[in-house]
Amino acid sequence: MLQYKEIFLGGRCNNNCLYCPANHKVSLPVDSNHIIASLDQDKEDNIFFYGGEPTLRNDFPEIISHARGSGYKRIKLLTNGRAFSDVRLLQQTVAVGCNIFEIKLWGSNPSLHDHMTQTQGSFWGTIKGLENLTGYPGDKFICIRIPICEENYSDMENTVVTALNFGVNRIILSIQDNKVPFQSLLPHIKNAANISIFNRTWIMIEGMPFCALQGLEEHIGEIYSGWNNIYERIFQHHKYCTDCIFGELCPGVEAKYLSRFGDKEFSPVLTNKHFNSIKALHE
Amino acid sequence: MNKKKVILISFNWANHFSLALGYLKAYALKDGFIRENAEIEIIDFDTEMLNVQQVVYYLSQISPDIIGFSCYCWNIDKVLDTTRIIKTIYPQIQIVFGGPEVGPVGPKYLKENHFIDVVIKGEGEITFTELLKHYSGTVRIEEIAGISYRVNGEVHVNPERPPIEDLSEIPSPYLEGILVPRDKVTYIETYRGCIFRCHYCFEGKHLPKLRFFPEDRIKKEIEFVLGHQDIKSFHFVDTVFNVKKDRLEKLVEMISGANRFGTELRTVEIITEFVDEETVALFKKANVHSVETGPQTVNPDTLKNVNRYYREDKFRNGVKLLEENGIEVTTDLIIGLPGDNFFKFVKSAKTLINMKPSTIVFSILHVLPGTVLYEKSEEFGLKFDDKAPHLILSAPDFPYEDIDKAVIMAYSLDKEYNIKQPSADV
Repeated sequence: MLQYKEIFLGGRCNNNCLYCPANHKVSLPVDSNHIIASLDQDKEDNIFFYGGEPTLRNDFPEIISHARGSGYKRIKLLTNGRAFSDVRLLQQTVAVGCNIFEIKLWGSNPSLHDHMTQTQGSFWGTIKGLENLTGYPGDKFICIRIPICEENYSDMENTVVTALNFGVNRIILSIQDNKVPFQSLLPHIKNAANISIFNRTWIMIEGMPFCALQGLEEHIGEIYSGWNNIYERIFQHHKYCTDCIFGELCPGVEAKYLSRFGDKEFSPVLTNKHFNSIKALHE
Repeated sequence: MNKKKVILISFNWANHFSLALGYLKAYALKDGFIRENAEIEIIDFDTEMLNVQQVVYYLSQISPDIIGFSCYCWNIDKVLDTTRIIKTIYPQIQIVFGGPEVGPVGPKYLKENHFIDVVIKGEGEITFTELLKHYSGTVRIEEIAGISYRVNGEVHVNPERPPIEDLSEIPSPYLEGILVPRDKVTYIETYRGCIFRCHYCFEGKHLPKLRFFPEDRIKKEIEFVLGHQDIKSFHFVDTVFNVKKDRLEKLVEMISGANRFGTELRTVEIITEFVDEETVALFKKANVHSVETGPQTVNPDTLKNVNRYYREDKFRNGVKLLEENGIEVTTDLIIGLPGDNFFKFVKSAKTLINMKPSTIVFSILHVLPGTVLYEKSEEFGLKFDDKAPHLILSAPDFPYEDIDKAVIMAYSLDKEYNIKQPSADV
């Protein structure tokens, strides 16, 4: 629900994720002065740094410090968390003003996670970072982002449990590819949501059309944050969207998904008890 | 005749002390007969630090004749546990309950808890003094207005007592030396009652008329509290600190005139819609550090249902003026009000986030005894836990599972929005 100004810190990374957008991987380093200049302002309260892996930059603490000095009240970092296996870097990051973290976790075990990141030892690095982070004193907010794809969707519930074991503040299930039919994902998503709510932790789902998530409306991430995403994706409406009451609120289905699976599994939502209230949110 | 030993107890949070018990003692000691025949002691127990066994042990060493308990929804469990054990061991001790948790439903508490002897309804100063006279043998219990009580196992209810018209009758517990001001937890009350009639609140329904303490007494209390160099911050307990501008001006003059040590005024309850540039200047002069305000919800249907005043443009402007001038604004939202649903609650949260107050507090509706929502819960279609703290379980458009999810979502949002700056606590 909070809107963050997004700042890309370059594509350099110590993981090599299978689903990392190509434009991130090949992007040139972003000049420090350019970043610093983009921070100067007096209107925004929230800022979000992402990469690549932002913590690999030598000037990362200076950037955070400058953001804090520029008046941002909430500074969020998207990271794989591995750098925080070194508690000194964690200490430095928090000391200069960053205490909202979004950490990507691809699986509940080393073989799956390391396969997805194509980096041996990355799972334990992230886990160690999470351990240090959750044990670190002071106020902090930790969100675990679980990208969902063909390789890991059947491990979804286990990955959620792994995240919950760290007492995190939020979990996001983010649909990453278009190779798994929604009907195969949905049982896992429902289970994962139930596990998370049972453990009193808020969970959201990103990247699925409203019609596929009937009964889980409260968890549709885009209702809170909109459809803008740091990863470029193309959504399109299909023939059933015309009659769907959510037609104007929902951008439809990812184009690649439609070309792969067609639109047979979809049907328009004709009534929904939350519709008017959801619509009012966007007025 | 030996003096009656009277203990007044409050279970509090975070080192607070009870202003209400200070009033009871101050009023009772006005009476020469009480001074001659009773010895009154106030004990503030920290509800987190002490368990019931420790409290019972402490009381066993005092051997009181009468114990009065100040009862709120957040401490009633501990009060009941303590009194059940005390009455079992010492059946001769008279147990008197008062406070908003029990007052409106005294007979219910008496019927369900055989160890309670008397429950006071409403303002307790006069009633409690008369009860002390009764225990000293000079007043018949049937003649005491504003109580329900047990005689030979049977519960009786006496006529109600109207609120005290002239508050100058109640001496100041600070000026009488009964309460000693302490940093961060000292409250001053300048009036009783509320101009609003919110259906989730006790105050407006039962104490609707504004009754003011005399200005010279308020001035003396302010001077007394601010004369303590160790008091870095204090509070007012008034329902709306900025209820009238001319009155606010007078209060600010009193505060600024007495504020030799730069004491901050923290977390006063205000109506943000009444805030203009002049009000902000007055707040600054009074060294107001932070204010707390509604709106509880921004949904028009819900506001109407709970009779809550809210003007969005004025509210937004008030928050902006205060924050721009360095006064921290804490805004409050309630989950589970009748008329709201999950996404209407989200709308309220989103609206407040856009206003950028320093803090947003999310709480779940307590359907408190004595409120309109409690008394008309069936009409509103509310289901709530009858046991304190009386949390809402479901409303017509807000089923239990949606309320539960809203609470979990709000907890996560609270953590993100209200996160403290790292440098302050690492």
